[in-house]
Amino acid sequence: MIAFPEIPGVEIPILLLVFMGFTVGIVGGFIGVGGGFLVTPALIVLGFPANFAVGTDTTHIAGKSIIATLRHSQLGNVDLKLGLIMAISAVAGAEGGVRFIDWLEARGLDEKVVLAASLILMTAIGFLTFRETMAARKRMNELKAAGKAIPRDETTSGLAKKLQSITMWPMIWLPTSRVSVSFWTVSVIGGFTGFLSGFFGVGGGFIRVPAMIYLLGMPSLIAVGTDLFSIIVSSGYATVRHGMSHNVVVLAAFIMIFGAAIGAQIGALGTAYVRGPAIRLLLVVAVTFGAASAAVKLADVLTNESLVVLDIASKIIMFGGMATLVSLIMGLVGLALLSRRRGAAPSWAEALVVAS
Amino acid sequence: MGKRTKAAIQAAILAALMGLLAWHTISWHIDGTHKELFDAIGNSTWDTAKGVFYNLGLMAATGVLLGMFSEKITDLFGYEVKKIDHFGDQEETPAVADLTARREAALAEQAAERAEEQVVEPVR
Repeated sequence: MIAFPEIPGVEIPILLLVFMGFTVGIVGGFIGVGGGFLVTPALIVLGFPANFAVGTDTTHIAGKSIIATLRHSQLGNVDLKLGLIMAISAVAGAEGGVRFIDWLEARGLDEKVVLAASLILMTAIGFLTFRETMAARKRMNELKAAGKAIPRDETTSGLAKKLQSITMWPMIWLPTSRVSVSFWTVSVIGGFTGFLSGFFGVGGGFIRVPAMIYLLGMPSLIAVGTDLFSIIVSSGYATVRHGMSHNVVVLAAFIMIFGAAIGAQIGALGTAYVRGPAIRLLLVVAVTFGAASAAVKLADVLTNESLVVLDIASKIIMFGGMATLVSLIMGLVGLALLSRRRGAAPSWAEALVVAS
Repeated sequence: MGKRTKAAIQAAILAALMGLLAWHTISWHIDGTHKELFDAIGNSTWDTAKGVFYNLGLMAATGVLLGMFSEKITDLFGYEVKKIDHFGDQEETPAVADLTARREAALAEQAAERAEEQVVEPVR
């Protein structure tokens, strides 16, 4: 057990902190999200006040993202130029989002409206990503049936091509993603996704990864690595902001990062064994848990925090989310390894794992 | 020096640095320096910068050291990390074929020019 002088009375088993870092490291390394939707509620359950939970988690995410990005860059999954533009514009957008919500709240905006909007946004992202991923999977299966090689990734959305056709100066060439796009398109998308994450208080990864895939036309694996690089910048900025507000217990973040280092290796290296749709399906699962968490929070606010059942439900969602995501990732990687040994993947998983 | 030996030495150096960083963090926690830094935030610009950038610096140093250490460990175990071929057969093949055709056309054009020069030269 370890006590933190910054928060008197809170004692947490060290191994539990390491384990939390480990699970969020796997999830973040694999689908390119920070993992705040898992760790922040877990820290609150362990006795951290909400502000300390958010600040400490953000600080740990900054370090964890460096570890995952280093590995992703070895795998060729990081588009540095795009990541930097996205990160800077996302930070500016997030700052704008936070200030805008403060401004609205000062004028009487109800918390319920924000929570409901956040729930709708996550549900929409989850639903649209799921629908598109299933269509992409179907197309990949058709290619296989036609005797053609299954590509590493496939998307059916035509939105990216439309946005790439905007040729407003200056145009930037992204060799890693093989995309030519206007600087302003990237900046607006980065700024808008940052604004949404700042406004709703949900992690940027949930919004940024699908935006990079569907709006910029990047392969899913590059979107994951690039988003993790962006998170280094955005969570680094958030670490400074939370530090200034006395919200960071640096030792807790330091302990968690050791677990995250191992988890991030499994998550990042796991991407080498899967195809784009697998990443997107896992993202859908994560967004679904995020939406469920927002729904419970909304119900809690609507009932004036009077129902104990909602408290239990939030814990089930959090621990269930961790367990489900880690099991699915490990299952996919295990399936890919098994398929490599056999020389072929089962027909239902051909569009998900790489067997050769 | 073999690749694995090199990786082992680098991993040992990084592990030693990680050990030093862990020792520093634990000793500052025990002697109360972390709490002092935390409490001083907001007292003055210098105290705030010290407290805030210490957090950021510690995370960055830990992240970089652990990330590099993990890379060396996989090298040590002989696990080869290859760059993922994101585009595979989709675009590479037509692009290469196209380039080959263009190169062949350019070479044929050059050869035709040379032949033409050789024919013209004796007349001069």
